[in-house]
Amino acid sequence: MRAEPGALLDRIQREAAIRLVPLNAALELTVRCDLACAHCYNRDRAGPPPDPMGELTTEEWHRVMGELRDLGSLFLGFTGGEPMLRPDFFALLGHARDLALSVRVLSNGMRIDAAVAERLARYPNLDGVSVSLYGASPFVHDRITGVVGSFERTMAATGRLKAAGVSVRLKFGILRSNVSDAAAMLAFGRASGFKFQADPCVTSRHDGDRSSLAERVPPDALEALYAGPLRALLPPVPSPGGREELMCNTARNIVAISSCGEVHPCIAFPVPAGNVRDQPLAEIWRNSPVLLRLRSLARKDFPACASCSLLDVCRRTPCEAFLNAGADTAADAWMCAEAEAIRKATTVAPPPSPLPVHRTLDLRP
Amino acid sequence: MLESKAPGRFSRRAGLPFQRMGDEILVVDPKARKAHVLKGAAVRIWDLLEKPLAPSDIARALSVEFDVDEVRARRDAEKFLAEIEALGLLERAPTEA
Repeated sequence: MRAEPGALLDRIQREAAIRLVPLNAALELTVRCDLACAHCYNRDRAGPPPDPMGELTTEEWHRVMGELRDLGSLFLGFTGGEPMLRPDFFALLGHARDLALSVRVLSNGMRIDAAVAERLARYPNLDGVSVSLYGASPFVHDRITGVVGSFERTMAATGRLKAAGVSVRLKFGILRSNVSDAAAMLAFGRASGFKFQADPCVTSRHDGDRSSLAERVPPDALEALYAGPLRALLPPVPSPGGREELMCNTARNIVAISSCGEVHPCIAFPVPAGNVRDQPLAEIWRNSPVLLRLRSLARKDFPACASCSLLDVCRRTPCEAFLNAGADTAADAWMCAEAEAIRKATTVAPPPSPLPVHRTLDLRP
Repeated sequence: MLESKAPGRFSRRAGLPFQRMGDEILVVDPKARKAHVLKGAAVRIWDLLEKPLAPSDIARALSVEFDVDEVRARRDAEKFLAEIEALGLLERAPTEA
């Protein structure tokens, strides 16, 4: 009955992808946020705030969670924006509990005081809280979030969550504005005792604005980044023989629901496959031309990438290609530069890591 | 024997996430950072444990559904309940007065 959780979950995830079961569902509870990150993929935070009236209501989210349960979902991600800005956040978490659904919350931690941390800890279905950080110091982090004091508040939240017994995972976003601090961020992550991950992926915004791309690490800085701070986080040996698939599990064992009810192949892939306000989710999941097309893509559909010698180290995702290069089957110059940097970094042995590293570069939902 | 040590009724631990995948059930325990897969008769027992039941109730159901004698079904059910109780997947219902 038992197995190593990692191996067991990997097998279940593979089976879900084969059976087309949306085991993992990202629920974008709101696009409102109390930070204004320069690289935010939702929207340009310099503009007027989004209208909360367009968001799914509590009852609508309850219905969606029930539909997800019936479709086979188990792992929900409550994301945003900042999901804890919803006044009904705990009602939604409780409804997921009542449906036996596991929830990971992706939060900036700004609203997590001691009482909230203790309240979160009481939910047996809470998998944990993932907290984004953009620096190892207030100076760097606050400049990117646009909110003075955000680093201190976020870090205080991680301490409160830990004290309450809630699992915390740090997510370091590596950007142009903080790449020179990447080593300090990773050292900070190791010293924190939390699991952590780091990712330099930045996409254009879902509202079409491309100014976020100014925060991408410059291609000529990627080599030093991967040979240095990120080297210890790369898989030990690139898979021989190249990548078999050029698609990830988007639309196979992953689905996302936007704050206004649009069904997306994943949270980072803002192509509407339907809307839960208009159609049953099961109908969209099974019949949407958007999802059917993604599932049908084969190696031959990626002419720019199919025979690339960097495929075994390439981290391309269809959503990143779609948002940054205009098509999910396209090659993106930045991703190619990243793969080159990883290739060079992995041809030499990594420097010794002072402490065990827990993260992977995968974006596990 | 589980029942002789602590007579009572058992149900799934409230709020524990689980989902059916084909003919298996995946149960995850976020607090313990553990995952478990149930197969065969264990799946049926998990379904039955939606409401509090005594081992004898479960044995009776298994005996009929799997065409095994009730003594053996009870022995198997008690063993399984003891195992998943040790894993923290069960809770005991209050004893009726």
